[in-house]
Amino acid sequence: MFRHRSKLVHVAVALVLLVISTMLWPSLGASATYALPILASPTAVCPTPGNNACITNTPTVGLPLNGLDQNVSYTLAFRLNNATPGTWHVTITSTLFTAGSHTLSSTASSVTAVAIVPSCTGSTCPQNTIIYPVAVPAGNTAPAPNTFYDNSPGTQTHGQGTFTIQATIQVTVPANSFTGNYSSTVTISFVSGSP
Amino acid sequence: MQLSFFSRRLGVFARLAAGTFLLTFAILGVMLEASLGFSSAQADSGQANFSLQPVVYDPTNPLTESYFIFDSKPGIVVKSRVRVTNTGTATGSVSLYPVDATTGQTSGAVYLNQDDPRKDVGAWTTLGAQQLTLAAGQSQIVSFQVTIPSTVRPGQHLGGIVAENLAESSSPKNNSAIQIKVKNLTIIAIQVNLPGTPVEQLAGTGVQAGGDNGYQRLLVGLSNTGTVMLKPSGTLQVADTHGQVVKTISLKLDTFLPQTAINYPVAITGQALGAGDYQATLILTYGHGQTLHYTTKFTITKQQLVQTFGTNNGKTQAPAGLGGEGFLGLPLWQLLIVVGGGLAILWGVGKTVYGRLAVSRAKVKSADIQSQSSQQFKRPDIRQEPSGIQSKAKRTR
Repeated sequence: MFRHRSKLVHVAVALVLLVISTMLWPSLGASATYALPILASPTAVCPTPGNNACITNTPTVGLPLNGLDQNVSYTLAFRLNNATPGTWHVTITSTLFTAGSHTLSSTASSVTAVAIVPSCTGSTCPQNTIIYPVAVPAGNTAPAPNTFYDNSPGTQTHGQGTFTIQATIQVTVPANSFTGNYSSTVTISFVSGSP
Repeated sequence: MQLSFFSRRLGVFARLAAGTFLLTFAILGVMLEASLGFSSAQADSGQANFSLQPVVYDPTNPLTESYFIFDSKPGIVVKSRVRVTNTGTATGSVSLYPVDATTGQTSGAVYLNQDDPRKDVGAWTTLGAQQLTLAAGQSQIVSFQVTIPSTVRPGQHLGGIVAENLAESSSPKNNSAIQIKVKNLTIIAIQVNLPGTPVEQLAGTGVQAGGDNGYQRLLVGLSNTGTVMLKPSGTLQVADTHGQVVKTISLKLDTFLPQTAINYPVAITGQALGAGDYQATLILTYGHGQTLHYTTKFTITKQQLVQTFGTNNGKTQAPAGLGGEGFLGLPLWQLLIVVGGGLAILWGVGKTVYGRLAVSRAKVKSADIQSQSSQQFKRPDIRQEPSGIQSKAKRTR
């Protein structure tokens, strides 16, 4: 009697294991990580004198799909140097987030905040006039960009120097998104002097 | 003593199930470890970076230090030079190409992609070099010319020269759900001013309700039908069907290029506008004392509100912060099942081990008992003596 009961117990345990395995297999296709902002401390020796900007991090973000619409943010950090007086601005555009044949919406991304790190005080600080959020254009081919940071109107001294800038970009992932690794190419353009 | 879960007591079915579960768990564990925590490619300490600057500039116009401004005429070829500098710390290659400019949706001059058709300054400009390789700190002067067509609209035209760093930053390949590649461009503007009576003209083309991700917006259609760049500013008033003003929003646009049109997004702050009919009144001043008065009606539907706010009604919301679900990214119910399965395994293994130990002890005990029993009941080899002698042996003890 004891032997039969023991066998039944083992079979029951085996059934539980099978059910658990079946439930866990779908999540193997998605990243089972906690969504984190990605920020690397700028380590590049850039920029040097001249009107230019350089990116100092390339972020990735993990996001578990849980059947709900979700927002996830990442930080794009870059250093910018402007040596000449006048206005300048930074624009952004992108390709669609794509995973195989699946894409996120063309309105998935937006710049929600931009800050100078550490915070800037004084007559050389850029005078940013942009109101957030700013949509990040996206398409199969990167569309015409949007300005997401500027020095306008610039005086003789405002906006001259080197600035470390961090842009927070939010991505909306709908509940019905397919699992996968979504990739996008973001193009940052520093327009050094423009009417 | 064999202490394996895969004991002979389990059938093939149970072994397969256990193996599947352990394999799943192992794969999941590897993926968790690979994707937990930050994942970021920090910029290498050695990378190329490029800047553009005019070689010569007009000392009476400080703006010419930053970008090119040519006052010219149709049919003229303007020649100039741009300095390309590798301001980075490593040798790198840069691609140079001209592009047209347009007005960004949020206003301001933006520059089109290399693959976009060129119809204006981008088409007029020819560069002396299309690609350079420069060592760190090295500069090279590139000549270019702008061939202005004989027949062309008077007024202001805008394009640019792009320096595209051919090294593209990519995020490291891992199991993260979202990966970003970054292209870094530096652009210097080329503005061409052609003679003719400047025309400052701005037109309103409509107002539409829009928005998403919790931000309600009104898209104000604007068109610069003149020949010069404008920087309009003013207000947008929204009134309900009773004529009561429900929103007054200040507007200040950046550069608006001639012969371009945009749907300028105006953010609704505070309490969102509900579904219904409204009237928008746009008043913008621009140029030299010019004013745009534009009035139009628009409608906000419930479907648009749902698209903007989801199933929540109410005021414009701030973007949601970071969030994850559960522990290790697993929902609670899955976590409970995993824990329950683990406990079941432990219970099964423990039962098997205990059973074997019990059997083993029982055998040992049984062996001891048998051993003791055999010692107790072992009799000396005594031959049968005649009865008289045995009786005598007993008495003497």
